[in-house]
Amino acid sequence: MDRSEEARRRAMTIAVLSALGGAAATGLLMGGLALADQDGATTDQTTTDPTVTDDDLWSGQTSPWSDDDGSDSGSGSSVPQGPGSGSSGRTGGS
Amino acid sequence: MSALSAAPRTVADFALWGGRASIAVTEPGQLQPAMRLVSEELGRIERAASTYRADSELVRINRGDTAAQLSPLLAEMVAVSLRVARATGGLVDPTVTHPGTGTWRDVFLDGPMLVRGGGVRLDLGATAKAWAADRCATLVHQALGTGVLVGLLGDLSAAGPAPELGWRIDVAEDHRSQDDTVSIRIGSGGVATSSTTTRRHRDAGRSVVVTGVPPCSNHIVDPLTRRSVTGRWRTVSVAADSCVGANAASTAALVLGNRAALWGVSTLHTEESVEWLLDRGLSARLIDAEGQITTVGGWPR
Repeated sequence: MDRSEEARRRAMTIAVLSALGGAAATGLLMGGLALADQDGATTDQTTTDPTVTDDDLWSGQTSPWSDDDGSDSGSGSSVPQGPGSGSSGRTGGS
Repeated sequence: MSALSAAPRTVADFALWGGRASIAVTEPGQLQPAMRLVSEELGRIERAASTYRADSELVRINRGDTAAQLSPLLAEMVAVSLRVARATGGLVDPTVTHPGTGTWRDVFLDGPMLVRGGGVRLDLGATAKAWAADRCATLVHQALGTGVLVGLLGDLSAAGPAPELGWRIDVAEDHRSQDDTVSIRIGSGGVATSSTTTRRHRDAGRSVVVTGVPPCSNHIVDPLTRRSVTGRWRTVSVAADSCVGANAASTAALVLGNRAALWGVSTLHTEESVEWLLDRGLSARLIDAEGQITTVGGWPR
């Protein structure tokens, strides 16, 4: 079962379950999950955009640099004033 | 008034959700409009997805039927949380913060329609803040045309043109701390840090943060054990092309370190977090329990 077919199947299932409502939906949902497992179907729960793959979350490359690198800001030179010359933000645990 | 103080501010810092938030813009004069836009958007996001207010849409959804129709905003946030869960193989799971049953595999979303297994509750805390940073940065850039860096409790996202020198970001274990920081610069994308050195708990419905040293009970939960993570790494910072991606990776790396400790494998195997980050082409900085620093990918050494 390819990805788009799986997405369509799940969308249809969800539409039916949603129409049925909470308690009934839950019971059928559990049954559906069991059947899906027996089929060996891959889990693809978010059908909002079935073309998105897992790796798209990190598809781009972002490499930070530091002033100490010397290549981007001129190490040892005075830093020009203006946006970006001071701290613009802080990352850390929350 | 001096010439310096008369210059329009381009960076603002303010309290938010028990921590600190910041907005930086490249265009002088756009800071106040940017702050208004972000404040309004954060209000909408909080009303949709906060688990700290009883009247939020998500709290109502969790209390209601297992099948429900979500607002477009909450549906998008749930979709992001499931995408992160899938991309991390369940290392970051929107169902584990609450005591309950099931996992992200028991949550189904089709557009605005949500169906979840009985007893499964959603908590978007692992992804919503980073996603909000991405969303607010994009919103400000599109509405005002300025380059912008939005920081929400340590999760940062840039949109639009960067300053000539790039955005300077101070990196710490606790985003509120002024100590022991290093600075990096980025031109685009996002940066996020996950750490076991801060912990968060609820007190009378409010979020309360306590800074401590490991092993303490922290807010990074391993979906496998549903307990706070420990393990080799105590803090992981990641740069990626979005803040959501950075945050997902930093959290996943901590959870992987927890798994290694959990299974009692050798030091060699505890490098799994590093390999996981490298496999995805990510730049990261990891601090272990002894304070030793490891950099990964393009993170400056």
